[in-house]
Amino acid sequence: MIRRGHPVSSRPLRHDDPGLQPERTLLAWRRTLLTLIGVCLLFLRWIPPFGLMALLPIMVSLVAAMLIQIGLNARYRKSAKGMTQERIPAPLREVAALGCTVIVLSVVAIIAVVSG
Amino acid sequence: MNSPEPGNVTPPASAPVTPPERGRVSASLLGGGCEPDPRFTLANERTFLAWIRTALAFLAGGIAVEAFTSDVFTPGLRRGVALSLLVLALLVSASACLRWLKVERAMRQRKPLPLPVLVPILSLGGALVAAGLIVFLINGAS
Repeated sequence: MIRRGHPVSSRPLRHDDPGLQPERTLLAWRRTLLTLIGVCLLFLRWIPPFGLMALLPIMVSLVAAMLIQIGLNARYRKSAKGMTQERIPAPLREVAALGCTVIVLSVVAIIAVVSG
Repeated sequence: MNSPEPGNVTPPASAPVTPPERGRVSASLLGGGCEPDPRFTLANERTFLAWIRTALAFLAGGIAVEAFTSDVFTPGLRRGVALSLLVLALLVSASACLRWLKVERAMRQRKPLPLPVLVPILSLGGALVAAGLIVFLINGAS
């Protein structure tokens, strides 16, 4: 209500890092998100031969892309705030989640190709 | 400042900072040490993301080879190329996570950064796939 003028919520967005580290990290996440969507679209090509086996990686990559998109704002905020506070908590959960997603995608794809 | 509680005193930058509200699992994974420069944390995150994109590119290549090259390759070769790309994707993504963790730990301990294990894996894997394709092309031409 009062926050609609954004004086409070925009405060952590300001940072004085000349290297624009939060912006670069945000763009890196965006690129990753786009690549994930590309992989998801490519998996669509697997539906005719593989059927349900292809639906699983499509769902996994879609959900991961959506979660990244939802979390982008908060991540940027966190890193911009971290630049002013001189400390950023290690993004362990995000790294583990994204890493596991790509590992699961590759394993499912390998199983699909091996089983024909 | 004006309160007598010692809890309000901010520690000097060089002193090990008390760990924030972090779970036991992540605390044990990251090890001790002090919080690194936030720029380093972000740089490590971006490097991890770049490796993940590399893995995703390999994955996309494997999917595409399996889906689009049935007119070009024999079934066995197609499966071989697709599988090697997919296995590379798996290796790169798994070691991207491990490397991120190793670098994060090294930064917290103020130790030298670990050598990249991914680079030889990647160049070897890429060379193997390329060699396989060259053999295929030579065989197809003759």
